[in-house]
Amino acid sequence: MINYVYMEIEKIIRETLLIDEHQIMNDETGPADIDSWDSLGHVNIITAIEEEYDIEITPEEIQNIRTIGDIKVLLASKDIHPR
Amino acid sequence: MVYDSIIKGVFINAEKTPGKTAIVFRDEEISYGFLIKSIRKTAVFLKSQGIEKGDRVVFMAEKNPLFVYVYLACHLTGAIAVPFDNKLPDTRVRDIIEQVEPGIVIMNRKIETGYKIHSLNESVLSNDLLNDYSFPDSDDIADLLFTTGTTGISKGVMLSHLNILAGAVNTNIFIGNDHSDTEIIPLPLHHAFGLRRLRTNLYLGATLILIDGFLFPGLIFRAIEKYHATGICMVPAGFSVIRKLMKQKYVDYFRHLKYMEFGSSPLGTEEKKELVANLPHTRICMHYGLTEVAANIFTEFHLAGEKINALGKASPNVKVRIVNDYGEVCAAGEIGEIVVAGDIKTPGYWNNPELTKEKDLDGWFKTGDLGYIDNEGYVFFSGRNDDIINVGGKKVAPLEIENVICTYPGIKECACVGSHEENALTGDTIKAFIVLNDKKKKPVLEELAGFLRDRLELYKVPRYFVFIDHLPKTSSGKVKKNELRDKGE
Repeated sequence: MINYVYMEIEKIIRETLLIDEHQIMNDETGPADIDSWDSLGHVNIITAIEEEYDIEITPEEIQNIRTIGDIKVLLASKDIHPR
Repeated sequence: MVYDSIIKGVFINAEKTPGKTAIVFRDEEISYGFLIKSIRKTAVFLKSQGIEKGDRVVFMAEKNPLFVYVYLACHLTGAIAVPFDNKLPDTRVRDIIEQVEPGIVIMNRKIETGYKIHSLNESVLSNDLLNDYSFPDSDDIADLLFTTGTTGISKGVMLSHLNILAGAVNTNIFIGNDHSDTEIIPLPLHHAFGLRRLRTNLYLGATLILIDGFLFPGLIFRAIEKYHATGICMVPAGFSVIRKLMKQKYVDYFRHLKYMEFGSSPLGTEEKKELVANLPHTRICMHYGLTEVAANIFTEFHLAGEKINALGKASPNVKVRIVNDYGEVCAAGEIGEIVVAGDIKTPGYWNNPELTKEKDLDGWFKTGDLGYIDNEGYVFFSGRNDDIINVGGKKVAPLEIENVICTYPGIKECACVGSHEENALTGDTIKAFIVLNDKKKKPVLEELAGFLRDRLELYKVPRYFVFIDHLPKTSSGKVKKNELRDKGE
């Protein structure tokens, strides 16, 4: 089954961090794997996700985001489903 | 008590309080006794590789204790420490190596340099401790820090043991921190600010906590709570990240701090006022400084009152003046170039007597920044007399980026400017204006960005690319960057 939320997250991250398609991403991918995922990149990703899904991510939730998988878990907890 | 050098001060601290924690890194606590042993072991390794007084040791500045051991072992052996950013592209690393002709290269990266590469881990493997050592003379060169200046050409700033000692002592006098403090250092250690905080704390016999940047502010909060941290050094971009991610939650933690030191780029008036209101019992200090002349002006936001936007006053033991184009001292309120003198002043640039001479005005260092001093001695910043872009405290020369962009296929010419955006976290954002050979053949942005990332430090890669038909130029052909800055595209 195609995971549309994952594809959307990946697209947001690629566009936010200006990453080309050769960079492989999966649930474990995080700042250690992508050079441009630094503190400012992190803020930009969080902001982009908040805008895309019209949600507010709290400081407590942000502290749990270390990987793409964590973003998926967060979105699932907010009942965000594939389009 | 003022010792002769930072390294001597660290050794004396270890004699006095060997069991005291010097460094905390990922919950590992390293005592002063262990720190000194590790430095002496690393010094044996350096000596075994033929390193002698004055030799250059090029090494990667990773945020961990191994870096500290190598750095201070250089000082103990009389070698010159040449730390570099671990995110520096290979081409820049090679450039530094070519310039300094090191006695040894230590890094956890495999690149062809013509030198045998040693790892950071390897440097502390010796079982022996260096017993036969003497502390350096104050005029000996301690560090060689590479920056790219206004021309975009990499230059090595030499700092003597006196320079770095004076930088530490002056800062401590202003901030008022002492051996009882525990400070969090989230800043990179190859950078003059982070490195000064490291020296300053170890020289005092204080405890420092190394944290990897501002990506996870929770780590900073946890360190404040767990280790009862009393201070932190901070750049405005880092503070913006913390505020953005953690909202006002930072107040719950930062209000316990005795002091904060800001630096590297300007902090907005609103942020300053917010800090003053939220942290009434914290000394919120900010410096103005350059690698060449350390932190030479200081302010404290609570005390500055209505002059909260001044750079501050000259640091203890430092002289600051404003001079006009003829080198004459300006009257109060008159704008001119900020020049600085004192024991913090660099002896010059590595193998570059021309630039050393160019930046010297009868013993005063010419900062290239414009400002004025009011009747009370407060220095105000008016701008730079060049096109330098300040990205989150890192000074970027547009020419360096432009030269790389122009090597990309299909690009005719380009010009980069700093663009200050509403809500920008980094201070300036780099915007590249590009003219194509054929305007119908626009490059794929992700590919262009990837190309630049391979050749430039990440913070130098433009955030925005604007394709235009031609660059606005003066009659002499110079790009009119002010016009580009005003473009709202």
